[in-house]
Amino acid sequence: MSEMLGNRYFLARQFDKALQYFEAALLESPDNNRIKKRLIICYIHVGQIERALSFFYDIVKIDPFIIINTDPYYDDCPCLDMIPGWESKLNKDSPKSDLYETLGMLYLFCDKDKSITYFRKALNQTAYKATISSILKRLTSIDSMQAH
Amino acid sequence: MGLTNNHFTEVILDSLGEGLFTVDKEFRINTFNRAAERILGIKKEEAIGDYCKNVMKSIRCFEECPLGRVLETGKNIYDFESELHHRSGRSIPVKINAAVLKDYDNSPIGGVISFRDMSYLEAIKSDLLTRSNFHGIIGQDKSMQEIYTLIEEVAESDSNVLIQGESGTGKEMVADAIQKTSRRHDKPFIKINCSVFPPQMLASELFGHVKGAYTDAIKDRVGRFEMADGGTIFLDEVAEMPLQMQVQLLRVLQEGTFERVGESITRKVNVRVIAATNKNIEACLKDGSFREDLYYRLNVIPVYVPPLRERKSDIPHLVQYFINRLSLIQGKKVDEADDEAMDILVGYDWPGNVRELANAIEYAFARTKDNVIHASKLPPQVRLGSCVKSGNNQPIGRNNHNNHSEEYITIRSALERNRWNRSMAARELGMGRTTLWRKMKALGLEIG
Repeated sequence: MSEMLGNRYFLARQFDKALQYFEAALLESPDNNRIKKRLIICYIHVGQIERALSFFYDIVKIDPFIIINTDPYYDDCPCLDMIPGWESKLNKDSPKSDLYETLGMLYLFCDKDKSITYFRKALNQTAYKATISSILKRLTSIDSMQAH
Repeated sequence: MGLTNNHFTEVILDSLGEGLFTVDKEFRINTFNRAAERILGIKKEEAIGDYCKNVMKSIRCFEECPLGRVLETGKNIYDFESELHHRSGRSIPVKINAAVLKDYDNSPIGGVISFRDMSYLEAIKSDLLTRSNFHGIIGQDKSMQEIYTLIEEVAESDSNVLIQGESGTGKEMVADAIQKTSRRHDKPFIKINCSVFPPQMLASELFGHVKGAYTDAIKDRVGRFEMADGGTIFLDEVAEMPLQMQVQLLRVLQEGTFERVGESITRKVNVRVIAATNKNIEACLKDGSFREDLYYRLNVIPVYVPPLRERKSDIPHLVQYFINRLSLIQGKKVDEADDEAMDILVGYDWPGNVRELANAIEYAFARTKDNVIHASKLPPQVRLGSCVKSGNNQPIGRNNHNNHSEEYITIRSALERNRWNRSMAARELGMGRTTLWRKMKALGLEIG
């Protein structure tokens, strides 16, 4: 019930409501990566970047392609709509590290290289250095694997 | 060869008149029946696999998703009034049913939504709002709407009314409507045609007589004015009244008094007079055949009923009305007149007005063997007298679309897609054929 209601509000872009239902749904199926992917977007939308990063890291550890292979239309992913809003904040003085982390997460849904760029920028300022390093390592390793 | 279960289900769903689709738990469409294709103008292949919000394109998907409501309340939805959008952008009023589909563990696995196109009901509502049938008078034309408004405005008044209009325009129906809406509606309503009685008889008819007043007066007789006391009298063809009688009528109008023929007792009545004439009353005043003082007494509330040629937009409504009425009375199923017949009917000038049109439809109805009246079944004088001839259905106004309204472009595009077949275009646009015809006329997309 909760997952479907979460989906209903996610489709309607009512992320705060979707969040409640996805959280409940995740209790019923804790390994559901689809719910986690959507939760990342919901948490970013409501400004809970730490929670978003936690789920993001969980997925990247398992398989970054779960996120990389997202099709914005087919998966109804709002990343392309959200990115410009977050990027516009970059122009303000001294952007915070969570801005880079957020853009790193959002870009992985649609542009891996840009995602890596933002995570690298985040690395110098972040409070989650170990997590970001690990994410970067995982993402760059894909590149080297693909190169071979 | 038997059907597979899936195919069997598909056949059942496609046989439904209601649009129906199902979604999975992510709201991706996985079934889309034929009626849904027709109502929304979207092919099944395009809909399957896409999110319902992308297919329905309704703001309501975001605000009041019916399946969301079922999920939240645990109760299925029936006859929920909403709105979907046709591929062309036209909004479609619908009534929606919604239910959540669950697996054996009672977990939701999707939902089913069925919807009924309620456009026809909206058309009826719109017809009612524009008062296409006002106390039996059929007409949506502005001139008729003004008459309806006037009738309603004077409902509280006891003032006399003079109805002018050509023969067959429906003056008597207007008189009926005035009486029905007046304060005197539950009082006597007496009608008399002034042109059918010789002068002596007319006086007797109107005012009554006493026994022996003239050779055939074998007993006392109450006249129409006395019969109408407290109520209304309708004097049809009032301009045919002899001058002597006009003087007597004037007295009744001024004082409410009269004497029966052959009697000297003055009687008093309270009667509202509604008079009608098909004559040019101004000409009658000029040539002295109608008294000016009587005219002013009668013409307190003037009503002019336009000839049918001045309100041609009403012809399709009238045609449909007469067909429906004849179908009902005669128990013969005839649905409509085809486009070509309608063009001819609209292109004719109708010197006998609505009465002549009613007769023409009755003639064609009698000759029609299937459920559509074709042009060939219309009376010869109509076919020959119409400015539209059989086989000519080229539209006037095929000028460029520049600067035209959205409605013009929508209607014109639908007509072009359907090769100017108005029945098919009307179906696509979800409106009645008469409504489409009226809109075409208003937009200058006429057939000539």
